[in-house]
Amino acid sequence: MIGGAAAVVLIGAVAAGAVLYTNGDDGGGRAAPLSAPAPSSTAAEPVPSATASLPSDAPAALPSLLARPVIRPERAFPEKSVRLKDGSRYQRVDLATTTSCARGMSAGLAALVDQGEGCLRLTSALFTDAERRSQITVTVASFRRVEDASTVFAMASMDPVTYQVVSLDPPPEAGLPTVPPGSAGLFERLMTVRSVVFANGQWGDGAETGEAALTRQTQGLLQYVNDHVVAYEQGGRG
Amino acid sequence: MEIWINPACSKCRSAVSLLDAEGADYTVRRYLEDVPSEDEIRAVLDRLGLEPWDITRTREAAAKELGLGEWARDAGARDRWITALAEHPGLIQRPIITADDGTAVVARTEEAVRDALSR
Repeated sequence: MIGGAAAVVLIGAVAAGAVLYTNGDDGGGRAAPLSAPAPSSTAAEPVPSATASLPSDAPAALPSLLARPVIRPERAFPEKSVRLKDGSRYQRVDLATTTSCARGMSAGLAALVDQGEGCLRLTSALFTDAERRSQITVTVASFRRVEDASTVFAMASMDPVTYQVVSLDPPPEAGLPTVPPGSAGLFERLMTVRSVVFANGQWGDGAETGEAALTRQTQGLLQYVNDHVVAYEQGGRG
Repeated sequence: MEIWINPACSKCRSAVSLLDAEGADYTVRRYLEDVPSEDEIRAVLDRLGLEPWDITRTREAAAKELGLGEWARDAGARDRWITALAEHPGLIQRPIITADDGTAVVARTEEAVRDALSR
């Protein structure tokens, strides 16, 4: 019912590994109204042991960069109204941050993170486009170690269903519908210095059409947030 | 203390973060997956001192499909509402914290979470 068994990869991208997944008919019995396929809170299979190491040419400034606090929500998501370079506009309708990162992750991703030295902060923002059709959750997961961020990025790129962050449901005051369970979703991600930035895109009505438009919106917002995170983590003022 | 959460809910994440920050001893129940029975919903309503329609998310699509807006809100309809919540847990307002003193709160604000912690 939940998981990647029926997932269909429709498209792929390069760095972010963009894939639109659908798990088809969920029979109406699926519990979690999350991005499709929904993350499970119970890991059905053992988590593979996955580790990454720093390249030998890692920047000498890395220790000082990691000594800084991880990015704060207001720095990663500074604007409620966003206009991207292509002219598209979005409204940020919700923002949530927690240091209990596992609460906003699938069981698989939480277990993977638990193998490392820890996620320090998970911040998610829900955006909708000017027509209020799309619901795109962008999440910044910041880690104590670069190696852990690398591991998460690698595993999420290989299996974005098992290793996913949870999309936000719109709050009542946003006046947006909760995306129907079982709806198709687009999963993308980028890695910065110590963070992985995820973007989960869906149409609010659960439509599986308009894939190109949803991809453009999701990638655009992912890049927008990623730019803020990179600027901070590479030494910008916090 | 137990907190019923939907991880897709930002207020649930905020509530859990506050519980962690305060060092609270609590158990998380992802109620969309670990769905409460009708008896459990009745028990929580007793602890909340509320009626089922008070904790129903009436703007959800499932609520509209069921026509909850037309349902009576009286003792005679109480069981019907509780059945709907058990069958469609996405309709249950969240997060709900069951406090150590036997009461419960719908913890959608920081003040409500702190209230639960103080009980």
